[in-house]
Amino acid sequence: MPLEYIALMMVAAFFVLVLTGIPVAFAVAAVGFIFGFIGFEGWLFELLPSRIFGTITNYTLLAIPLFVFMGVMLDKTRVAERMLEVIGHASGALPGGMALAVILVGVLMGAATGIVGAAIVTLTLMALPTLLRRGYKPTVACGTICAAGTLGQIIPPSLVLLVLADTMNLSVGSLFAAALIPGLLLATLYVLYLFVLAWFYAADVPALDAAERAAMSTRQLIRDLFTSVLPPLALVLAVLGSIIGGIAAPTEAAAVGAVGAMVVAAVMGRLSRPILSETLKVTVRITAMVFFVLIASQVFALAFRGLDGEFLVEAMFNWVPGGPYGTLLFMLLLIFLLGFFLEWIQITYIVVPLFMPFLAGYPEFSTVWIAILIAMNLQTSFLTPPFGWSLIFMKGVAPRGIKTTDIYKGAVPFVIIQVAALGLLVAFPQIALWLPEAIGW
Amino acid sequence: MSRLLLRIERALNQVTRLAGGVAAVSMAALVLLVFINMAARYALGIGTVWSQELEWYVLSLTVMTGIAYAMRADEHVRVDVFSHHLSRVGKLWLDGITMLVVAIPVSLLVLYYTWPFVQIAYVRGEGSPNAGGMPWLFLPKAMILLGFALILIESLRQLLRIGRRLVFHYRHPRRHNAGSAGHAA
Amino acid sequence: KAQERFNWRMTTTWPAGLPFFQTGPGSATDFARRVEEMSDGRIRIRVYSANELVPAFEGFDAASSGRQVQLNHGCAYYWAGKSFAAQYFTSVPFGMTFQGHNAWLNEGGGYELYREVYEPFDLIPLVVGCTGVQPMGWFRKPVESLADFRGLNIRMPGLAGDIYNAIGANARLLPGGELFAALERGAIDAAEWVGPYSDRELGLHRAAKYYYSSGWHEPATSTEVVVNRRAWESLPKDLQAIMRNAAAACNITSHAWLEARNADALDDLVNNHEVQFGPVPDDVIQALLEATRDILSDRASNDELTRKVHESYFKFKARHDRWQANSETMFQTQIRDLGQKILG
Ligand code: NA
Ligand code: NA
Repeated sequence: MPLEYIALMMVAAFFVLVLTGIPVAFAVAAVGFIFGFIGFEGWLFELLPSRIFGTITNYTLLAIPLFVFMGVMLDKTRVAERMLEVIGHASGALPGGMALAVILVGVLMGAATGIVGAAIVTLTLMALPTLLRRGYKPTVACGTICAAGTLGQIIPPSLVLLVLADTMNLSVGSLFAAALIPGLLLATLYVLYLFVLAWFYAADVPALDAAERAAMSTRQLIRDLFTSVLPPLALVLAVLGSIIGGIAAPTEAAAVGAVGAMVVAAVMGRLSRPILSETLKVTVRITAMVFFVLIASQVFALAFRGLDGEFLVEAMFNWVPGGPYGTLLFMLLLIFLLGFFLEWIQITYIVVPLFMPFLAGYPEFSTVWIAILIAMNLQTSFLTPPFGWSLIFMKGVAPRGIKTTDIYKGAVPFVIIQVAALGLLVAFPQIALWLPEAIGW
Repeated sequence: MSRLLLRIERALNQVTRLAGGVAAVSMAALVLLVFINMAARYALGIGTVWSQELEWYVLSLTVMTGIAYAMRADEHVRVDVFSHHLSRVGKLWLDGITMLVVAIPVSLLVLYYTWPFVQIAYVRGEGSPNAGGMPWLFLPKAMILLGFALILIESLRQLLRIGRRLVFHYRHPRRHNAGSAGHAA
Repeated sequence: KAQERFNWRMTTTWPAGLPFFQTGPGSATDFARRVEEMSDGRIRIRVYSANELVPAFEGFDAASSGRQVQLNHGCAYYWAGKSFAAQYFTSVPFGMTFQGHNAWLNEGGGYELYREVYEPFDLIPLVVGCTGVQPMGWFRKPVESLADFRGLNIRMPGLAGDIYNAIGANARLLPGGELFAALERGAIDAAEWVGPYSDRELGLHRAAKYYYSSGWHEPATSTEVVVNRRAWESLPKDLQAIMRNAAAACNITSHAWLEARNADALDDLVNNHEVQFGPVPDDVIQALLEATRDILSDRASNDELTRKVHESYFKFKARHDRWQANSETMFQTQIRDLGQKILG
């Protein structure tokens, strides 16, 4: 049997194994080893330690634990939670106001933490019961929270952008700058959708009732905005500003963010030893699991090379008609489909490097733009039923009354919005490229 | 026999707990180290090559001690669309089989391939290619060994625990809902 | 036996498509192509860029064990952490340029020492390329005196980084992908890469405007292919000769190609991109020289092999310098300048 067929079987076996529910890191490594031994008696695996070593000592990836620390710290000290309460109140008079607040907090949490899991869990625990109590339609409430909580994936700083910068050999700063407007565009489209919904189906998204609004004075609200929203906002601006403004390298800015999050928590009187210790533990767990998947993916990647899988990809791309745009759309479609099953780490670490040589052949495409298209596409994969991670995270913490189908149905409009945003990005590359060019990246 | 297994399980449990502690401390050290390096360079205009390289020595320690600890807390990234329909016993079987036929062989294989890699770096006394950099390049390389040894230990511990629970379940079918069966976990 | 075929893998330290190193005349892929053509397909070398098979700086060890990867294309100074003496075969700060460096390697005992240094690694070195004299690098602010180096953040790997530290600068380590951005945004104040052509490809002229010459730190950067010893010994004599000759051809071809590109690129940078190109003040060179002398003599005394290589290099250099002063140098100054006046 030609090696390429074994490579194809390996990919299929991986999907099957992942679906059984065994941890992704073990599935990817096991499949790589098994098919490597079948195809080439495993001799290529002697190169494995070099690849693992390259992963755990990678300067770009060093920013991951630091950004995770910053996010977990803001989450554990309930800074993010407080943000949601205050903004929810501030936008209360509007039909759909609370949903708008969820989107806004999603943007802020996305910029502050960028950890989709944490954002979804916090938003679900905090906002979902409130939204339901106020008479929001369950599907709308679930969809809004999932979409908002996932914004951190595209709004910088983001782990996806960090890993993409590493695999595509791009500057983290220029990717962060390029992702900012597309991320905000996406949030804006969400808001527009909610406005439309409020206009036609006001009963699905009722406004905060007068009694509840009256309970908090305007002065109190303004004070809360200053004490609860401003500090984390300032931290986010400082971190993003110093990366995009080029004052500090991304890893350094991430360290500033980590230390800054402690300072913000301390200023707000929420830093304590148990919280610090809990933050460290959770940070270690999230970081270790991201790296574990990256490390385990090395087995798969090596086996894929050893099985001449790159010829398979080459044959596939040669078969695609339509020139550069045909290739690009094919790649985006493939990533979208893979996104149903695979996680962003595998897509960015295994799939994207295989596609890069073909896109590098088209100098008319900016690599930064392609990276943002991929990031936006991955964003979608978080929300696509049945395996979107955001949906899975939400199901884990949602109240008992919420059915899986509520979450799935609620996500659909947002997936459509995401695909539309992706289309806009393909049609108008300047959405991504304008900011980095304007500030001279 | 079961006494002995329980004792082994407890000993392994201590090891991964310790690994978690090391990972958390080294995580704190990492944040401080990167911050101090940056502050020293911007505020005082001083910076050394070795202290920059020390950053990824610490990163490798954090990551490789952290994985077993994260496994212990079951922080795995996984797709449980189908497996969440399984009964508690079904899940135990799935996890047990995963540990026995996937996790343990995978970590043994990685250890097998990594051993010579670390040994060569140690024997040759490799250091940083950058002048003024860190010595002992075998140390971050050895973190791979440490990490996968800990993964192996944690997999064994989970296997023992799952085995104990399954035995308990089949011996006392009426009490199978008692989550307290895993009192040592 | 004469018709035995060899299918080999070669890793490289370069990203895919990097001119001079990975693609183009005299590069890694060109070396593989030449060997295949000259041997009529009896040796086929599949070239992998950095990270395809192993990360950039792991190919040396892979070729050293030799079971999966038989060759690696890179620069010897990347292996200074494995053997300090390797440094000398790439280039030596304030050392010899293309002619002297190649003369030392081929006729001054350099190649023998090169092989000796790599013997413990089971590797046979072949010199396959040379960038020629590299510029000193790109600076965001003009350098007017030695004092301008105090606290200067400079991206400078290897031995040169240590030497800059000795005159008060901060050598920074940065991945290649961050180089442009860091310089452009001011996270670093200075950086060096390869030469006008390669630097322009990376866009460094858009990040900084002061381009200083000449590259005291890398007067003749050589690239190498290392071949696993067992793989090498398995080759019949004619194929070994083909490998050696392909290497020699790549060495001269790559140098010629880059010399021509650099000439065009420098004109373009100065005329069309407002780049200020010129020398640094003498006191900077003086300080760098003193630091180089101290650091090199200190490190050379660390181990026997480095001392041997160091002495061989500098003994040859002293001899060659005298000849060059009266040939090349004289021609490049007195004769060329007069010649330009009369011949244009
Ligand atoms: Na983010
Ligand atoms: Na250079």
